[in-house]
Amino acid sequence: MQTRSDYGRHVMNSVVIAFGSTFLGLLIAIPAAWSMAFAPTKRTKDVLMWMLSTKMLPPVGVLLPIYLMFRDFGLLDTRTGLVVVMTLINLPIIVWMLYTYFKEIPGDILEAARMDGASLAKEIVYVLTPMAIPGIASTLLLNIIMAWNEAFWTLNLTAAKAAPLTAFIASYSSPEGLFWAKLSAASTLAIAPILIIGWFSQKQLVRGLTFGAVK
Amino acid sequence: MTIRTLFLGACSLVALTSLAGAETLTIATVNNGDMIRMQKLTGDFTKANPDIQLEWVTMEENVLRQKVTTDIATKGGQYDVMTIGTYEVPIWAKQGWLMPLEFGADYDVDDLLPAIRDGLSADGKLFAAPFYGESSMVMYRKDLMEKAGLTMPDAPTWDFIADAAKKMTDKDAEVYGICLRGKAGWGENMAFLTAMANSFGARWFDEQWQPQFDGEAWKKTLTFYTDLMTEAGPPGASSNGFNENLALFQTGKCGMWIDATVAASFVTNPKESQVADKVGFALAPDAGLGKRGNWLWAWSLGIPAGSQKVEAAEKFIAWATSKDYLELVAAEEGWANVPPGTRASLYDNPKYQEAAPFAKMTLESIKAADPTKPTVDPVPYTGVQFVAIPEFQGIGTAVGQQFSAALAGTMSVDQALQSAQALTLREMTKAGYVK
Repeated sequence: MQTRSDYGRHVMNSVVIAFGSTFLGLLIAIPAAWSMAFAPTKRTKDVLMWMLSTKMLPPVGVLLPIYLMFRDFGLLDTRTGLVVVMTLINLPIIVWMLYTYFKEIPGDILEAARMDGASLAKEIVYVLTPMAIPGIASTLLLNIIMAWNEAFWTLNLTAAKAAPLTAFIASYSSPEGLFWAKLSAASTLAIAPILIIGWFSQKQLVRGLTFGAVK
Repeated sequence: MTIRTLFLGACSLVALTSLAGAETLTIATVNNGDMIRMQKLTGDFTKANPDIQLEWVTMEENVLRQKVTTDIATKGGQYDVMTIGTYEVPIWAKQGWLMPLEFGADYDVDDLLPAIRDGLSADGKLFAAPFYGESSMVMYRKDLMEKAGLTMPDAPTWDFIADAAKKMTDKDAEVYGICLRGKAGWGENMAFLTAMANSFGARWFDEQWQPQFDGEAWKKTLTFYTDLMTEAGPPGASSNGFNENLALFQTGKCGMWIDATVAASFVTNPKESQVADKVGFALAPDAGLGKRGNWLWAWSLGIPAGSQKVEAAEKFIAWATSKDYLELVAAEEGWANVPPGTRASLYDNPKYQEAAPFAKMTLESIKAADPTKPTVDPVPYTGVQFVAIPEFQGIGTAVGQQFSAALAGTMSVDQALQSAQALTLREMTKAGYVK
């Protein structure tokens, strides 16, 4: 299999795209979710609904404009381009999840921190984030898995250099001939890294997903 | 600074300079055995051309088609060499999306099989070089045919096929007389049915682009197909494509299978097939109207217009589709694994004839297909099992769904044809072909 495909490069691309887009997404989503949970306006619910509605559009509907933009900005077949696009795609889910977790945290604690003289940045970094760690961790893991498995954009916006593991698997599927062994081997290699990460972090994931379920 | 350090530095500089000077070709290709073999053998090319490096993007057919079409239509410039079929070449050449190919005398362009060459040319210019070509033919079980008391002629008729299929069927033993494609799709059931319809005198459009599904010829085709499959086909045939039928044939469940000539090497391979030593070949059937029900396809290599690396790309294509490449594959992997269906000289080679028992029938099948005159009555389009217009992928799949439903029995033949006629007329009017 190694003679046909550069597995190492595909793994590296998947890691950079999945982790890069997740961290960038969290960087944007944590302040956004904070403001929606603790300083809501009368339009907050509408904004949340609008963000979710962007997920309802079939991706192929925006393929051409995004492809043309990528071409013009020189982002086709680059990891940077994919990190940006994956961040934007998963941002609504990240914001929604974090918003739900943050809502469970009593606002009085943040108020107390503010009374003690904490600035907004300090309040988010030192008070809110540690309390929401299980929620943030499960959001992070879920988003990494979503970005890892995403096949539409990663297949359409890459060629050789930035192609992640989804392209690696696609290269082993054939309508003429039954190559189950190769396809199975490719699939196993593609899911192995994420399976290992999931195995080590399952405790955090379960804790995060049930966070606030029982009061 | 020692002499050794200076020497190492000079070496690194030379290496860096040569790397910087190397041109990288990105090649988009389809995932099938012949293409993967080419990828494995590219050391031969890069050894002779150290200034050219190759990057491979291997994809499943439909994904590849979607990616390269998006790229070439938007001038994305991601690929320098594209693997495309006989469907894309005439359409893209007309749009000016492909570079015309011109090779030196040693390439021997006249050695390319005329049917394949015509399918890849427009206005007398070659726009893609064929890597391998295929048609379709009948693959049958010699033992079951003998048991049925019949002898398969080299060029059977549809009536003979129907008769043989019924006699070979033994549903209790899970042996079905005939396996044909039923899965909906322009490249699945419609590839087979369009080629079959050609032999029954049907056509997709008349010379004014009016759909012809309301004619007698299509009714005869579809009725024959559904009756035959109901009586002598496997259960659930409406979801069978190439791979499903291949598995059925290889496990001894089909008496006959009409499909791509490339399948011949799979069904005669004892490592994969339980019936490897019992398979015979015949031309695709006809109905006495002068056209056979076989198709023509060639996976070919083309260069997108506007490519910055035309010279290097042309060098690579000349290497991959040359006679020398066939010799190289034969030396490394044996004559049976040489990409078939592109060059006449291959079929004159006694070593190939000996290694590939299906060679003669493959060549005859390819010769029997004419992409420029695919039907009994004149048509305004080229293509045997497809209509070479951009709208065909969508229309072909939609019509394929109606015909698949007719095979599954969820609608009648008449309903399927009416529906196919209406939807094709609607789409062709929308696209401006029908005024």
